[in-house]
Amino acid sequence: MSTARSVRPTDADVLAAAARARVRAVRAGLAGGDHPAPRELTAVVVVEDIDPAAFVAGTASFALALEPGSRAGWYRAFTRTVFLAGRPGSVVGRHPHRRLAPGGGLAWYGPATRRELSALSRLLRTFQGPFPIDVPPGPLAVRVPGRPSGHRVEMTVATGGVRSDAYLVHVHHLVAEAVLRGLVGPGDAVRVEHRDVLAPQDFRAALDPGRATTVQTRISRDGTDPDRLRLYGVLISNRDRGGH
Amino acid sequence: MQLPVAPATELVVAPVTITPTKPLTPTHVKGLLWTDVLVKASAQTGGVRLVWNNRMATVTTQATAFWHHLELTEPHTDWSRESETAIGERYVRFHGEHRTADREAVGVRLAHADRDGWIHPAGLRMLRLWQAQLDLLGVGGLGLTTDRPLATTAGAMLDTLADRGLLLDHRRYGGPVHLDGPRWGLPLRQLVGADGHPNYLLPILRELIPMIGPRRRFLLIHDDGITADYLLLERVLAEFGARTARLSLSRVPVGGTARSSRYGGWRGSTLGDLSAVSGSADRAAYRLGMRLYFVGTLHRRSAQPFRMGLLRRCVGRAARLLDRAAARDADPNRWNAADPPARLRAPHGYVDPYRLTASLLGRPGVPPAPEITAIYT
Repeated sequence: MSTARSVRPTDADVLAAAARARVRAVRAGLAGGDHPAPRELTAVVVVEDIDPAAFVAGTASFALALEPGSRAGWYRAFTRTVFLAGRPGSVVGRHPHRRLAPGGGLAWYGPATRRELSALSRLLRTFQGPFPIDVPPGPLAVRVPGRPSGHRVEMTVATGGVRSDAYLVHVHHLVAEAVLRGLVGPGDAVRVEHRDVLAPQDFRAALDPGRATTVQTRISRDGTDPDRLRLYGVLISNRDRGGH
Repeated sequence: MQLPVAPATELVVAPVTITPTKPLTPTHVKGLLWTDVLVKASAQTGGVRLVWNNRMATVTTQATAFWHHLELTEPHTDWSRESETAIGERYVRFHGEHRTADREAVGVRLAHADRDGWIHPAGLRMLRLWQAQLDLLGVGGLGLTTDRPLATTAGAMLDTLADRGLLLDHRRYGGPVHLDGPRWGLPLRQLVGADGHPNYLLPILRELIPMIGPRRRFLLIHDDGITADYLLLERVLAEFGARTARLSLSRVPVGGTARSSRYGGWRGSTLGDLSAVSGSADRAAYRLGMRLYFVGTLHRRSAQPFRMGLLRRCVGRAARLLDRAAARDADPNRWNAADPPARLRAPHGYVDPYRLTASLLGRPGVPPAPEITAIYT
């Protein structure tokens, strides 16, 4: 068996290698990201309503608008984000947000230290969504705000057995890290496809470490079997700027 | 010339309801006696209505999860013979064990309690024991065992709240329904859990919102451990046009703690225990003495722990006050020292029970006038 493995790695091997590559990339930090940044930066998304297209567009524009110090610090914190149940319109008077998704059902705060976000956290409650997200049939066309760039981004996201709260976590990491790495820019056209399951063998090329400069993946412990890794998202860009 | 007549208003007094799962503790007794004096004294100056409906307490998971646990663990117990302490100790143990309740079974019992007024035999037993104690205390006539369907259904109330934009409803994601406190700078507050079960706030809204009317003023009475919830309730009621006031009462610590009764620690100081130690005092002296202590010495923010010795002294003092009042009433040349109308001023729309009661304590040589005695005995 060990011989066979060395010839053709299993899905688990492929996912583990890609997950390790992401950790190494994050530890190395962003290219040119030597800005001193406060440690332990966290972003907050206030969730009233989840519109997948608005969520992808909002996440991208939030990450694109960050200043260099915040980008580097938040990237090193693995784009950590807390999702809080709340109505952006009820919160904005006392806590002005940084970004609002089209439609107004989602609002972004930070990235900031936990202390800076504590007043907002005390006002709201952790978003709970055990049901899978309701996604429209067919792929979504999302335009990142900005003048059309001519660049295209293909995103594929797993939804089968994925809780709504976990969906938010996976998609947010996928899009935010891709933006910070330069794989997604203003005016890009993003095609978002939802599938029940992303089989690693269907994404062998994208998962190849040699392609990492144009690919962002989201691999995490399986929500129903924590001993297994599962592929939750793949983002492929035609911008060749990704670097670690 | 005829002066315009001010429209009569009705004061709606709504104290937080107590689940019949444990004995009445000094904190409960303080709330009940403050409510009793407030309602009876305020009734002498205007219209008063007390809102008490057991279903505000029984249509809660706090009660039904416990009762479901009793059904499972003790299907053959004869609850009509159990003591309040024995039932209360089971309740404390149940809450101490942090078991996960069977969601569906609790849901069935919640629906049964809501629709049919179902109460587990242990709860009925507790209500019967309370009734005897409350009769002795002179609050039995307030209707504290009243049970009727809540004024509107849970679904209709959620729709009403949603129509006003007061909810954050995440049921479509399998999540909870929250009241949108942040619109007033208050925290988001869960109203229905992700398991679909409402908490104690929904029955209160179901009962009170349909009562709102232009001639009514609401007084919400609660213990200060749940002030945050009541601040929110007040905002929600105001959103529907209600005029409201709140009376927040501090808990009475027993055995060094001021925690909720579900943690226990009340042995020897339940209303059942207090009824038993009233000693040689007659019923009127017990009633007046209990009020002198719980309303006249424990002010609304008092942090004083329960003191049995002080309660006994209050009962003794009550007996002497009543003796003097009786002697005065028998005296053909009696002088009426008390001035009930002045004492019954209601600057906030209700008579302040502490001030009224403390005035009895402050002038020990002067027996209370008959109108005042009637409120307290």
